[in-house]
Amino acid sequence: MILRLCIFLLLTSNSYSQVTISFNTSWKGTDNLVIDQDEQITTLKWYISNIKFYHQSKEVFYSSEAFLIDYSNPQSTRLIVDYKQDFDSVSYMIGIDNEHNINGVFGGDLDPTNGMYWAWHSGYINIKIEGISSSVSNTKNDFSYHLGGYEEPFESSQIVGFKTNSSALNFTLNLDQILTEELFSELLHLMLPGAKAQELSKSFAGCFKLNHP
Amino acid sequence: MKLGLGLFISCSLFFGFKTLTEEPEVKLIYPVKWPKPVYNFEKNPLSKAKIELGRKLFYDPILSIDNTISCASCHLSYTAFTHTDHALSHGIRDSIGRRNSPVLINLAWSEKFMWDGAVNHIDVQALAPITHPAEMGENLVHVVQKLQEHDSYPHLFERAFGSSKITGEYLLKALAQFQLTLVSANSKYDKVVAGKESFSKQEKKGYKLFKKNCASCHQEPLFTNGEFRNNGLSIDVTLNDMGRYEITNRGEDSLQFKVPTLRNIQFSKPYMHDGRFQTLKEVIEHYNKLHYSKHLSDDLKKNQISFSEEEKIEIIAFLYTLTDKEFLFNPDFAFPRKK
Repeated sequence: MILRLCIFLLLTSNSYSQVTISFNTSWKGTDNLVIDQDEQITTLKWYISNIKFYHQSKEVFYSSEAFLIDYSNPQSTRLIVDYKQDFDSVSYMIGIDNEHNINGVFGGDLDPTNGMYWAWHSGYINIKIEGISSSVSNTKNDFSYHLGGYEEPFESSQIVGFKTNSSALNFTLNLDQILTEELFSELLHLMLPGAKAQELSKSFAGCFKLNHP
Repeated sequence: MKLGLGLFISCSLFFGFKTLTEEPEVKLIYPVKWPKPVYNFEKNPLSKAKIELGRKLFYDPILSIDNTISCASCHLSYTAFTHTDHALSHGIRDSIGRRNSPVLINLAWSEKFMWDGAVNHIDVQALAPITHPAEMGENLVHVVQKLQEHDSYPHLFERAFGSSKITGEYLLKALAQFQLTLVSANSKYDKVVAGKESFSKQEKKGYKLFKKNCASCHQEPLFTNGEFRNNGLSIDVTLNDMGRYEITNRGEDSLQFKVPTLRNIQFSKPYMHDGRFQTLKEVIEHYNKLHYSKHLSDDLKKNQISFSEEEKIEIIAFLYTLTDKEFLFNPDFAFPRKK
């Protein structure tokens, strides 16, 4: 059972432990997505799903549920997993699985009103990064990457795993690793599935770093 | 916010959640010998309230940015849910699109939607016309907002889904439900197959020719195999529509389009993805004069079509037997009038 930061759980939980999973960002040396007027990430949204915990190589917890991490809604960047047994590693999917991509429309965080669904080529947008930067040479200095696609051979959802037994899992997304000068000089806008979307999705997954307490 | 079962029960005790009114489930009716629908009704079970809501939405131009275009603007019930006066469909502010609106028939048996198969599930199909700048020009958040502010929709959504808070999911599922009920299985052809009627001599000959030359793609009983084919249409250089290739980016899919159903073809002109043929005679002429090209689908390469004048008439006579007047004039499919 996974919940958002939820007041009911705080009231009812006493000595039960739970696992919190949170995601902050790092870009150009700051944890803020807005550096100044001309340098800011205006949209950062991505789906997390299929969270799994393992203990001694056996899967001990699994939830297929998907959550939208949206930095314009800070509450959404923190999840609470109602799990108190031992584990030694964690994995999750960055993006939406095939099952949800082929079975029509869903609600909650998967509702298409969240702006994370492609109207003209069915499927979820796994990751959305938009912003403006002086490193970008077009007239509006803007970039927008909408990364998705579930069909072979360009599946773009990524699974990441980490060895840890901590109940306070804090990840930092090092966006400098994806928003490079090289990327800006090559491609500023992407809204289709394909090889490039897959490549950038892998790059995004590579940004995730688990902070050890 | 998603709640686990235990938490849900305790919350409902706290706040007294409303329970969804039990509605008898509606089942799709179709001939016994037909294949099962591919649509997963378990995820969106048909109910009278949802179907009626979907129908009201289907006929409501509120889905468009300037309240002028409804689904029915391009999908008219009397002409098999397409429109007959335009080769290329048009939307808001007289914008012209690239393609002819397809018929909406027997959608529960379709796996892919749109001429290029861009949409993989009927539930999400409506997103395409709703958000296209040359069709309805809207965005989903704004549509949901308009419905929420409307006099009757919140109540209708509550009756259908148990919540007066309208979501994208509910809107799309309601529209899908209405469209899923559009089943056509009562044409003369169907009655002949069921042993209740007989073909005329001409129709019988036409049927034989059809089975030999057309049925590999236009397979009975749905009169489509649901797949994509290149039927030799030359590219229209003013449109440059590459069909399925635009979705898959695979060379072999170039100029391939979805095989449409031929049911009710008598009334669903003009024909082909860009409406280039106004009459069935022109369609048959096209197949009679096919040029060999390496991209032409195998079904057509293997069997060179060459109909005589008499045979052309016989085929058309057979195609007319696919007309289902009960479907075309079903009051449950037409504009919802106040009772």
